[in-house]
Amino acid sequence: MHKILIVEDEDILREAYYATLSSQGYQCDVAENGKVALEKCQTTTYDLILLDLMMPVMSGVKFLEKFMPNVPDGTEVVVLSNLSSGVELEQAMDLGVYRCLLKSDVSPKELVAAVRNELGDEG
Amino acid sequence: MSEQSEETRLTEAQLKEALSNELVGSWLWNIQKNKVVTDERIAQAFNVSPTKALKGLPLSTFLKAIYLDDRQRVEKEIQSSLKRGKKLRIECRIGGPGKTHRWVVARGSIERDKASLPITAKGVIIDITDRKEIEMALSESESRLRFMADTVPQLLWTSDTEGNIDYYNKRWKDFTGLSLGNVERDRRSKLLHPDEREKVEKTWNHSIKTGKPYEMEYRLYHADSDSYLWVIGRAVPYRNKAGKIIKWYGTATEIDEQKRSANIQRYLANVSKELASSMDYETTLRKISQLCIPEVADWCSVELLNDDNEIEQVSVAHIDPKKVSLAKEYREYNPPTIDQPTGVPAVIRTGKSEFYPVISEELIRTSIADKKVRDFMLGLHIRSIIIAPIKAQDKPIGAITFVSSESGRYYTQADLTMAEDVASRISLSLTNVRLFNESMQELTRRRQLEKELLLEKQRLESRVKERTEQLQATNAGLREEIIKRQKIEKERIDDLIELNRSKDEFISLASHQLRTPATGVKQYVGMVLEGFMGKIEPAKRTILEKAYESNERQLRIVNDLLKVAQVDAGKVMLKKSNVDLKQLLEDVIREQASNYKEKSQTITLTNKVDDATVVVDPSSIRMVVENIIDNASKYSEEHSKTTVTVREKADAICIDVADQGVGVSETENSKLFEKFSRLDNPLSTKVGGTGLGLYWAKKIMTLHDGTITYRANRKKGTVFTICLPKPVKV
Repeated sequence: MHKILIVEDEDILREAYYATLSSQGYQCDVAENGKVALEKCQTTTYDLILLDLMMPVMSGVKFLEKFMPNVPDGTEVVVLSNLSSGVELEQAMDLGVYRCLLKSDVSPKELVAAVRNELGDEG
Repeated sequence: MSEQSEETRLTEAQLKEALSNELVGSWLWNIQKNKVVTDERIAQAFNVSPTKALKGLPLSTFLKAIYLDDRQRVEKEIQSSLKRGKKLRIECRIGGPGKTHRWVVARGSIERDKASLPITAKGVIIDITDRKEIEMALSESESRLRFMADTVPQLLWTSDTEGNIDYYNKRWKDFTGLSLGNVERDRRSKLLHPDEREKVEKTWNHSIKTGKPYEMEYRLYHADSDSYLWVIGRAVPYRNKAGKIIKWYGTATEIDEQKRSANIQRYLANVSKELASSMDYETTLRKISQLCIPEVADWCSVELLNDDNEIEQVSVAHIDPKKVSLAKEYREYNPPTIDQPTGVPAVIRTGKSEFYPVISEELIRTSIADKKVRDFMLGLHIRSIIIAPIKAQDKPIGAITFVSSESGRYYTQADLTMAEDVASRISLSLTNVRLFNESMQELTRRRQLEKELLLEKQRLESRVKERTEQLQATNAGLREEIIKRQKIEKERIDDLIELNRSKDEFISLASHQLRTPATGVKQYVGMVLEGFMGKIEPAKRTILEKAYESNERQLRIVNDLLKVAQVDAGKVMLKKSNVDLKQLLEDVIREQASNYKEKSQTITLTNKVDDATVVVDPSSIRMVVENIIDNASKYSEEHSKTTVTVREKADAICIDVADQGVGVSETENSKLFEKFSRLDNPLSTKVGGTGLGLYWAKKIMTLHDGTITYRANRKKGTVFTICLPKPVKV
């Protein structure tokens, strides 16, 4: 069972993603900001981290700065943000993120498809 | 007693005579019997027989011997003596032709009876031939002297040691009209001019006393002209061998003409000096009239025409101030008018002098009617008058009058010349004064004008200065105002910019905020629609699809807003890279194929370019292309055809997207690329666009130095063209 960490500060979206992905059988954890995410990563190794960029307390980029240097091998990070461009995205990419998803563009089905893609799942 | 003394005196004289002369003899004349008895010598002298003479002869016999020329006189003298007198003294010549005459004097006394009739006479006869000869010689030389004295031009006189004149020469007598007989002291007083009388007598008396000779000038009465003429008088004493003065000899030489001439010259010189010394001509003219008194005239007046053309007396002079006041009174009583036939008015009118050399009392009496005036004139004792015209610039403006009265002389041509000379000098001076005054006036006027001009200039300058200052102040004020307004405007613009920016920020923020809940809706409704919640009935599915679609639209709007806000804020980052537009178009067309298929629309791509590579930001250009191609479908009906062409220009690659859609009307023309512009036609409501696409597209194209334009398609629809610059060939 793959472990996914959903890092999203907006409650409504976090719960929606959690509902969607959980229904597909993934084990999901949630974090409302970068700091919580870091805490969670310390105790758990995730297969996929869905990372929002604009968050209070600690932003996505700040999290990546802290997390990516020691990123476990199996952990993929996908940015799930509402920014289609911008400095933050660039920075995220510089820090080792290969994939970005635009929240408003992605329906639940499309989200699932993208996750499966990342994790190499079919079905 | 006196009779006796006189007799004694006579006898003495007779004796003297007798002693000094040769006695001829004595005689006795019985007057009643007419018998004359003489001694022999007398008889011989008288050429009568001495014997008869002793007896007695009638008087006539003796008278025959008297020289014919004397006879008548002798007879007369005898008769006259017989008539009265006691003495007889008769001088005569005796002798006849062929003989030398002898002068004798018969002297005797006459005895009278009680009736005073002469009875006898007796006496002597003395030969006085020698004496007579001497006398004659003396008389001759005296005559000669007298002749000489009478012929020299000088006036000569002699006097005794007490100053009594005892001789005047002929000239003197002719000159003064007086001779020795009638020169008594008071007569003599008329001789000298009153002005010099005292001095002359004083000097003469002094000379008599001191024996010093004198020489002085004075005026002497000249009978012919009844006036006084200047003479220079000299007197020298004649001393005997002992040095005692025994006689005074005096001369007087007429110098009147020279003196007058000298006076005239001096006066003329003074006139010139006065005229040259001052411009104040009234004072000068007054001085000129005074200067000629008394040497040149007794009266002098100057009259000039005033501005009212009346004759004004500028000055009147006389040695006696009382007479001057009198003259002024007279003038007030009888003022001259310009129309009078003679005198000053006439001279002023004609510009010619008037000369009255001799004015007699008769003339005054007959020519002046007014008694008061006549009396006045007579009282002045006027002798001569000269009136000469004074001119200014050749126009007569006045006259100068010279009058000779008390000095008692008559004016001559020389005086007339002098008067005209003075008048002409005055005229010249007046002319000069006038010209000078005129030029001074002119100068003053000019100076005044200059001053006024300067004042005006200064006034103008100060006004200009004022105005300039005003203008400057206004300008400064305006400038300040402008600066203020500019500042306000800038502030406003800044405010607006700020407002705009904050609006953009707000939109951005708002849009951003809106996106989250909309995304939320997408997730939840999507979950249901996409089967995450199990199967749903078609009816419920339909409703949910509508909800989902609506939400999608909202998301699209929000995304567009954010995109536009981003591009407005200049926050678009273009990451340019080589993009093959052909490829891009193919991709986009493929993506949109389903859209086109739904509406049974066709879309074709024609490539007319070998190399359609441009250096652009791929994602944004792609979005622009997507926009246009999407629009072509949205705004066209079913079964329409869209043609996409790639072509090139000199320095750009262009893509034409030609549709057969609704087209763009005239009114929509200008607003197409503005925010929230939506075409006003039925189709547009179905379109579901945000109205921001073209605005954003234009901005993106501009950022790429490209263009986006459109034009109407030939028959129907629109052709949108985007051009991008060809990459610069290195």
